[in-house]
Amino acid sequence: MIKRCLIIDNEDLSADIERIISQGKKKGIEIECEQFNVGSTFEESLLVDGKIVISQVVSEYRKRFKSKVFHLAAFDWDLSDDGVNGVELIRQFAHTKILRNTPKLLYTGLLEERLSSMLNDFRYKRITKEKLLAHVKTLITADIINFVGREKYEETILQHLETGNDQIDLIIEEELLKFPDLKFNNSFPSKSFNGKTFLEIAKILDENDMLRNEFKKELIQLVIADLTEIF
Amino acid sequence: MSSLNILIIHPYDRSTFFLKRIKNYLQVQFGSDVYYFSVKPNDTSHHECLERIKQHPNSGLIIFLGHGRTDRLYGGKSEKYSALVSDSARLEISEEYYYNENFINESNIDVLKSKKIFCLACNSNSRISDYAIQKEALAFLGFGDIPTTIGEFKEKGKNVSNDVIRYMKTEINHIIKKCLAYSIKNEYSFRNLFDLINLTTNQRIMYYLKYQKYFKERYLLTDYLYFFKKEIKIKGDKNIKLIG
Repeated sequence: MIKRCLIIDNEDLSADIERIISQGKKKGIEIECEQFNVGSTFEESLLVDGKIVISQVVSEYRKRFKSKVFHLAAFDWDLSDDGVNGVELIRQFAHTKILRNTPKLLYTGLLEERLSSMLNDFRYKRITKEKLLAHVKTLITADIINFVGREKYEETILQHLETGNDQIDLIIEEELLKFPDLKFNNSFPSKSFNGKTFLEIAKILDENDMLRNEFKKELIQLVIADLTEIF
Repeated sequence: MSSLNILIIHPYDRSTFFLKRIKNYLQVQFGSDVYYFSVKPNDTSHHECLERIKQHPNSGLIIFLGHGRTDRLYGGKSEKYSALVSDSARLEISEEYYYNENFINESNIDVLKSKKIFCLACNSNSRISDYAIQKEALAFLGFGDIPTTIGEFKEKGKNVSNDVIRYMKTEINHIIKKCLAYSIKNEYSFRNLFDLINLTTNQRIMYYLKYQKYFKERYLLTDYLYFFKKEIKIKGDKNIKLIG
C-alpha cells in the first residue's frame, strides 16, 4: 500500500524526505513524501515583501496538489514569518477545506520554548486573548494527531504511516480520486449525484458535510448488506 | 403467541392485489395467528373492519396494506369504480361504483388507540401517523411515496417500462413479507424491524446493481428502492415489540 505524506516547512527537507522513504521501505511501507515549501525565499511567489500571503499559499496548494490525497500532513511551527506559523496555516487550511480529511502533525525545533513564548506573548500583551485562543482551538480541533519536537518528527511520521488509522472520509476521497472520470449512475443519497463524475462527487462531498455523512453511511450500509445473508 | 395476534387489513382494490402475497406468506408462517380482513367495497365491511380493529389485542400487530395519503388511509374500491360513468350514476348504484377514500382519518383514528400498526400505504409516514400517536397508538410505522404503477411514476416525471413496475412490486412483497415474518419470529421491536428492512432493501439494491446488468432501468429501480427504505418512519415507541 502506498502512503502519501506532505511536509510543510520553509527549509529544504530533501535529505529528511529521502530518509523517511528509505525507513518506510525497511518497514515494508511504500511512502510518497513531498514538501510544500512555505515561507522560504526559494518560493518567492508565496511571499510579498518577505511575508507569507495565505491566499497565495492556498492557490498554490490547489494548483500543485489538486486531486492528491495525503495520509498525513506535517507542519513546521516556525515558518520564519511573524504573522503566519504552522498553527495559523492549519487554521487557514481548515477554513478553506484543504487537507480536511488528512491527519496533521505539528512539529517545532524548540517545542517547550515555543509554547512558553506563546504564553509570554499573551502575558505581555504582544498577542490578544482571541489570537491565543484561536491557536489553542486550532490545536484541539484540527485533527492534529501529535505535537512533537523537530528531533522526533521523522519517527512520528513513520509511526503514523505504519500504524495510524485512516479515516473513512479519507479512504472515500482517495477512491473517488483514483478514477475521477468514472460516472455515478444512481440518484442517492442525492439526486444531484446522478450522472456526475467521481471527481465532481468528491467536490460535492467536500462542500456538504451532511451529504458527506449520508454518503458515507449509505456506502457502509450497502457493503455490509451485500456481505451477509439473512433469509 | 396467543391466537390471532396479527391482523391484516387489506381494502379491496385491484391496484393493491399484489400485496396479497404478503398475507399469503404470513399465513403460511403463522397459521391461525393471522386474521385477514379483506375490506369489501361497501360501508358495512368498513364498519366491521373498524370494529375488528378495536377488538384486536393491544399486544398484537395490525398490518395495513393499501393506499393512503398524508392525512388518511383509503378503503375498498369496486371493480367498476374507475369506469367512465357520471357521478349521478355512481350515486344511484353506489354498491357497484363504490370507493371509500376516507376510511381512516383524523376523525376516527382513535380506533388505533393502544394499538401497534405497520402501515404499508403511501405517505403514511406523514400526518396520519402523527394523528395515530396523538390518539395514543403505541407505535406506527409508515412509509413515504411508493410508486407501483406507470401512472404514479409518470406523476414523478419518470417514464418507466412494465419491468420496473413488476420488479418494484416483487421487491416490496419480498422485503416486507420476509422482514415481517423474521421480525415477528425473533420478537423484534419496531426499531429492529426498521433496521432489517433497511438491510434487506440494501441487499436488493446491490443485487440489481451487481447482477442485473442487462436490465437498463436498474439505476432507476434502485433509486426508488432507496427512497422506499429511506422514507420509512416510526412514530411512538420505537422500542416496543411488534408482538407481545
